Amino acid sequence: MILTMDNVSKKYRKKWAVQSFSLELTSGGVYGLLGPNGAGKTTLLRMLVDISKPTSGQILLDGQSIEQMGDRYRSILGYMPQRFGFYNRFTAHKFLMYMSSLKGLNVKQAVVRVQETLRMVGLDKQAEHKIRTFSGGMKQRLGIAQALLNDPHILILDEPTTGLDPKERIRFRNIIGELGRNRIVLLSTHIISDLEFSCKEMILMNEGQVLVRNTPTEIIKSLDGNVWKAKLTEPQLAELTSHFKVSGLSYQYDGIVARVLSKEQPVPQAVPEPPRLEDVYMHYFDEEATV
Amino acid sequence: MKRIENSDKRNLVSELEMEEYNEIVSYLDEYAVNFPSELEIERTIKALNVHMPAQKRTHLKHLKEKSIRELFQLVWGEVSIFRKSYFLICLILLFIGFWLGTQSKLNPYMNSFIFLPIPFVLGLLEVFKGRDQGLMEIELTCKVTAQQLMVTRLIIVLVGNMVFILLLMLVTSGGTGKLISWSALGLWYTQLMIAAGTSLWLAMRVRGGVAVSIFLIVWFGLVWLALSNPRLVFLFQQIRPSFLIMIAICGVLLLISQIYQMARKYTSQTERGYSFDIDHG
Repeated sequence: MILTMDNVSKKYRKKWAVQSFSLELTSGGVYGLLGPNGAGKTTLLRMLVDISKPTSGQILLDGQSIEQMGDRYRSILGYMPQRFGFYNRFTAHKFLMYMSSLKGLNVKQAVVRVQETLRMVGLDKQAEHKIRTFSGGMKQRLGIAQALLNDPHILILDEPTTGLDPKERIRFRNIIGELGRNRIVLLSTHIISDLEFSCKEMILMNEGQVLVRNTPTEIIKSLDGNVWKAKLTEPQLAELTSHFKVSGLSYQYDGIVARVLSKEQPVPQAVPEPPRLEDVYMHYFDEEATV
Repeated sequence: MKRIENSDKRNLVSELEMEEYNEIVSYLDEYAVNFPSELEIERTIKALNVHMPAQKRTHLKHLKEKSIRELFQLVWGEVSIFRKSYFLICLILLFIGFWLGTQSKLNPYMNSFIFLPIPFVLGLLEVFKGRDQGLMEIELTCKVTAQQLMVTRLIIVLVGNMVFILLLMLVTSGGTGKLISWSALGLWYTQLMIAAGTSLWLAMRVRGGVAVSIFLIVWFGLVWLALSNPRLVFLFQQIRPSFLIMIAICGVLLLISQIYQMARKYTSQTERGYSFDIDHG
C-alpha cells in the first residue's frame, strides 16, 4: 500500500499553510511528522484524511485519488485529531460501540474490536464508566481507541500523546510500534521522545514544506561534530546564547552545563558531544525561525 | 480465374486431410466421447451455476436491500442514542394536549399551538450534537459521515414531530377521533414547517443550545402575543385553505433549502477545511 502526496498545496485566504508537499508513505512503518506549532502539520493531516481539499496537487492511495475513493478510503482509515470531544454522558464502551457503527462494523465485529481496543489502551476496567468522569489522559486514550476500531490500514494521529503521563506515553509508543508493522502510521507531534524509538522515518516540516526526511539515526548523524557541551557561568551563558543556539541547560552547584550547537568549538572549555534529537529540533527549527 | 484457382487449392487440402484422417481414425476411436444425456447436461449447468457471477439485476437488488438495511440500522442506532429526556418531554407535551382537550375551557386547537414545534426544536440539539461536542472532525472521517448523520437525525426528528402532531390532534380531540379538526391539523403542519425551517436556519449558524434557546424565546413570545389578541385568533381560524397551502409550501421550501444547505455545508470540503483551520497551522 502506497499513500502518495503529489505536489500538494493548501492556501487559506492569502497564506499558504502547505506548499508543494510531495511525500510517499508505504506500509510497514511509523512515520513521524515533526515541526513547531504553525508548521502546517495539522493542515497536512486533514488533507490526508480527506476532510480538507488541497488547493492544488493530489493525494493518491495505490494510484487512486482518495477523494474519488470516498467511503472505501474512509473505511480503511483511522484518525485521531489534535482536539476533539466526546458524548460525555456515554460510557467508554457505548461510545466505542457507537463509533464502530459509524465505521461500518457490524455488531459482532464491533463487540470484539471494542474489547480489543479498550484492552490495548488500558481502559478495559473503566469500560462502563461515563466519559465525563475520565481524566484528560484517559480521554486521550479513548481517542486513540476509536481510531483503531476498524483495524485501519492507514492510521493518522495528530499530537496523540498530549496529556498522557510518562507511563501512558510508553504504553502508547509500544502500541504504535506494534501497529506500524503492517500498516501506514503517520504520527504528528512536537514531542521528540514520541518519535525517537518507534519511528522508521522522520519528516521535519516548517512553513508548509518538508525540510528533511530520513531515519532518526541518519538525521542525528548529520549533526555529528556540531554539538558541544560546556560548563559556564551566568555571564558566559548570556554571551554564548547571543551567538549560538543552546539546545539544553542543566543547572549545577558550580555552574551551568549547556549543550551548544556550533560548527566550531564555541568556547575553549567546550567538549564535543554526540548529537540527540533535541539538538536536531533546535538546529532546524530555530534556524528556520531566524531566517 | 483467380476464384477457380482458390477452389482447386481448397479441394487439394481437404483431400490431404481426408487421407490423414483415414490413417488415424482407428486411433481416435479409443478417445471417443459420448454425447451427454439431457439429465447430465442439466446437472452440470446446476453445478456450475453456483460459481457464476450474480446477474446485474440481482446484484442491484442486493445492493438496494443492503442499503435499506444499513439505513434502518443507522436510523435505529441514532434513535437509540437520543437523550431519554427528549422522549419524556414529548410525552409530557402530549399529556398537556390531552388535558387542554378534555379539562381546559380554552380553545385546545389554538392553545396547543404553543408547543407544536417543540419536539423538532429540541431535536436540533440531537442533530447538531456531534458538531457542538467537538466530535465532528472524527465523524467526518468515518464511513458514515457527519453530514449523513445530521440529515438522518434531522429526518428522524421531523418525522417524529409530524407523528407527534397527529397524536396531539388525537388526544386534543379527547382521544375519540371524532372531533379532529382537519383545518386545525393543516394549520399545525404549516406552522411546523415554518418553525422547522427557521430553527434549522438558526441552528446552522450558532451552537445548537443557543439556537434552541433563541428560537423558543422568540416563539413563545410571538405565540403569546398572537393568542392574547382575540382578533388574531379569529383571523387564524378564518384562514382560507388555499392560503394555508401556500404558506405550507413556503415552509417546506424553506426547510428543504436548509437541509440542502446543511448537507452541502458539511460535505463541501472547502467549507470543511475552512471551518477547521482557522486556528491551526
